[in-house]
Amino acid sequence: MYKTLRWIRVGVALVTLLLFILAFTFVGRGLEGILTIARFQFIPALVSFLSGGAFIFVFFLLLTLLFGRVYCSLFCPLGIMQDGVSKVASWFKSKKGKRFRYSRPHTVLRVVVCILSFAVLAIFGARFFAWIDPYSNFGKIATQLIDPVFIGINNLLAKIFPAAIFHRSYSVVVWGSFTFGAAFCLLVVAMSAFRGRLYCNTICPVGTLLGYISKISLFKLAIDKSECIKCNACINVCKSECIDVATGEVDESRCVVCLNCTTVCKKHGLRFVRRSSLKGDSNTAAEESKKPVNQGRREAIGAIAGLGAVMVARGVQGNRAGDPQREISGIIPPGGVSLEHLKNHCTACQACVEACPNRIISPAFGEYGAANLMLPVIHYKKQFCGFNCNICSNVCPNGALKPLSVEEKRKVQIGRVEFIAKNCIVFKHKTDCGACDEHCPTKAITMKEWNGRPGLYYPTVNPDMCIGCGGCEYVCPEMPKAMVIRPLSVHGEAIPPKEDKQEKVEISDFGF
Amino acid sequence: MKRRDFLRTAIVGAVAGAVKIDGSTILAADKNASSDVPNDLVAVMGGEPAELYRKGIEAMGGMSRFVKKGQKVVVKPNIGWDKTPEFGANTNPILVGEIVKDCLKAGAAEVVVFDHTCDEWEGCYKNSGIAEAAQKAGAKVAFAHDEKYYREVSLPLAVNMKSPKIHEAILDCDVWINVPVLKNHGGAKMTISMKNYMGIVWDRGYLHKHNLQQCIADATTYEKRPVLNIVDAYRIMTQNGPKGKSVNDVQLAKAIFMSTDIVAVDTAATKFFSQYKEMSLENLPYLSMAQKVNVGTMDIDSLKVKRIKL
Repeated sequence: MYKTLRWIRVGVALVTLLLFILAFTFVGRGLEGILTIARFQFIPALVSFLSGGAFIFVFFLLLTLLFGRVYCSLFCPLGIMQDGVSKVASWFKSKKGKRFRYSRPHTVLRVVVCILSFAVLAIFGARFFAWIDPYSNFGKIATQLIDPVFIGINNLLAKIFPAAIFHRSYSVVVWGSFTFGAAFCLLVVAMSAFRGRLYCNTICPVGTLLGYISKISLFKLAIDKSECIKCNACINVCKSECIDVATGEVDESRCVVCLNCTTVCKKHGLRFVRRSSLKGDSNTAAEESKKPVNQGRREAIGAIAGLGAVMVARGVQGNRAGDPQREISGIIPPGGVSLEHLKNHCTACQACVEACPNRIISPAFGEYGAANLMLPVIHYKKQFCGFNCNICSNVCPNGALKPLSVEEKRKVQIGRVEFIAKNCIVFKHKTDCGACDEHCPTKAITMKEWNGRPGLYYPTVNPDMCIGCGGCEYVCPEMPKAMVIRPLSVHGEAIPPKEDKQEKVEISDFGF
Repeated sequence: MKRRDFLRTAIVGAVAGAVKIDGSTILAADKNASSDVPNDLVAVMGGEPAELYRKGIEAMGGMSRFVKKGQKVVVKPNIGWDKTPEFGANTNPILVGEIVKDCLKAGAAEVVVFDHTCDEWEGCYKNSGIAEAAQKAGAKVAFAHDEKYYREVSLPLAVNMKSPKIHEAILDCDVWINVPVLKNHGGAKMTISMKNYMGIVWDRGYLHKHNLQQCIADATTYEKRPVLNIVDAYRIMTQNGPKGKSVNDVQLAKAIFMSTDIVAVDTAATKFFSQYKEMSLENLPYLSMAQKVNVGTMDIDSLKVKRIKL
């Protein structure tokens, strides 16, 4: 039975990883739906608890209370990636040499990192937690490291099959984010190649939190001490290095329930047991075994209480009113509401960055200030924001970009146009242009005839009508640009376009 | 023949006879007027897109006049905007489909449809309905969103834009058919056949930057001229063009114009447009600029014209 269970674990994990890689690297038009799986992640569910994540969050909590940290093995893309690295690394290790051995827990380190991380999340919002959230960091690795490779492969195939596969023009690699992604990836790969789930059991705050909650899980993996011949087969395959054969204990705070141990034990002595059955089962005196169980319960309740405190703090923060307009040098994507809202909810997972069909969203590198790195930011250098598109706001798993319908999005003012007449071609060269007017979807830009120069038209702007889509800025052929979208740190609402009704004309001739 | 048509024919015929004008040009309403010399310009009004096209191409002498057996053909519509057909921002997809089918019927080895779009290209190709219509009719839809699909050519007749990059489909085809839609344009004033060349050029910013009117004329001097220009005037955008805001910007004109002469067909279409919204030919310097280098003529009356009302 455990063999089957283990294969199910491997299967689910592979599907999860595959979907995440697909979602974060190859999102094509109409495939953005795959990114929905990002909602099925612990931190996004926590961050969006009040805006749709509650159900999933409670599900993960119950799952952990039932079986321990299965989340880490089945649903965490970063964890699964590490299992993969660990597996591949094992092919290069000598067969006789042991893959893993028991190691003592790094309790102080992991608890301090965990408490600090969640305290930061509670006090400063999601933006710093972005640096350590396992899901979001997988997103960064995928967009900054895997995606460019896939684009390269795609473009190679586009050369071979030019009619069927189109050339992808650019990736969303930004040096700051790339460096972070690469460094983080290197750390995790190195740790997992040598020590399995060491990262998950030292640094990962989600791992630690779920680990401590696991201390009161209904079922846990345990060694049947009467069967154990101390052959150490289980230790050899334990990625979490959490089985202490000497004492016959499995440290459930570090166990990710990968079930590897259960399938290698010749005596079938590693099994799921009900925690309550463990007390009397022990060979040692009942008094002795009772103590750690009690302490475990205290720790687990502490972890849950801490989590509750984080959520209350976040709830209070969410109600903070009145954001001031601040100077920022990049545009907050539609649905982002304000820099405050974004800071509070965004873990910089890069889902929106990947999903944008125009690839105008990239991880910030100073646009929102030095403290808000890697949050999504829009620039109009290579494209502009599609009038019919609302994809970014609908793929955000955190509610950092609130979902908008296309109709709603067409009213949100993410920036305001500024016309710099001295840069404009019409004024500079006295020739026709109108590229900005051509692209403006709301006609916040209109062309006026130049007094004294019949037939020559120049652009005029109504910033209140502008939604900040950047069509004008992108397409303005002059450098520096005559049309510039000024970012808004608090999104506004544009006044709706004029109706411009016209009489239906009936004609009866060709006119020539 | 309807009585009204008869009367018109009679009156026009009488006038024509009196002033000695070539009857076949003016008596276009007369379906029986046939001649061995094919028409240079055909205008059809009062029908649905497919019907307009069929009547028009028939009067032009059929597609086999332009497309020979085994030729690689490009059909170049305007797919500039991520808009559905009722907004009139792109060429009518039904028309594109009809043309593709007709090219294949005439023996084309392959038909390619593309445009260098302004809005995000996948959205334009899809929502315009053109990609689907073209593919259903048997055409290949080519990518045009990246510089790698364009190659530099030299335009010796050009004044400003002497070496643009032009889409490989145009460069590699035997013949191409230009299929714009009739719209007003905030910058160029009107966008018809000549302005539609901007969709075969990679760097559109260059045209805007170096005297838009002159560069449009320059583009049309590229040696491989379209064998036929077909102006879709089924829905015409008379305000807020070329993108448009709403269906309010559109008039249902139900017409089509075809010509081998790109300047003439744009002149004719502008005059037609002027019945809906005043538009003087002086607002379109690119017409006279192109005429100057013999790309075509603005003098419609010097051509053999056929006008058909359905």
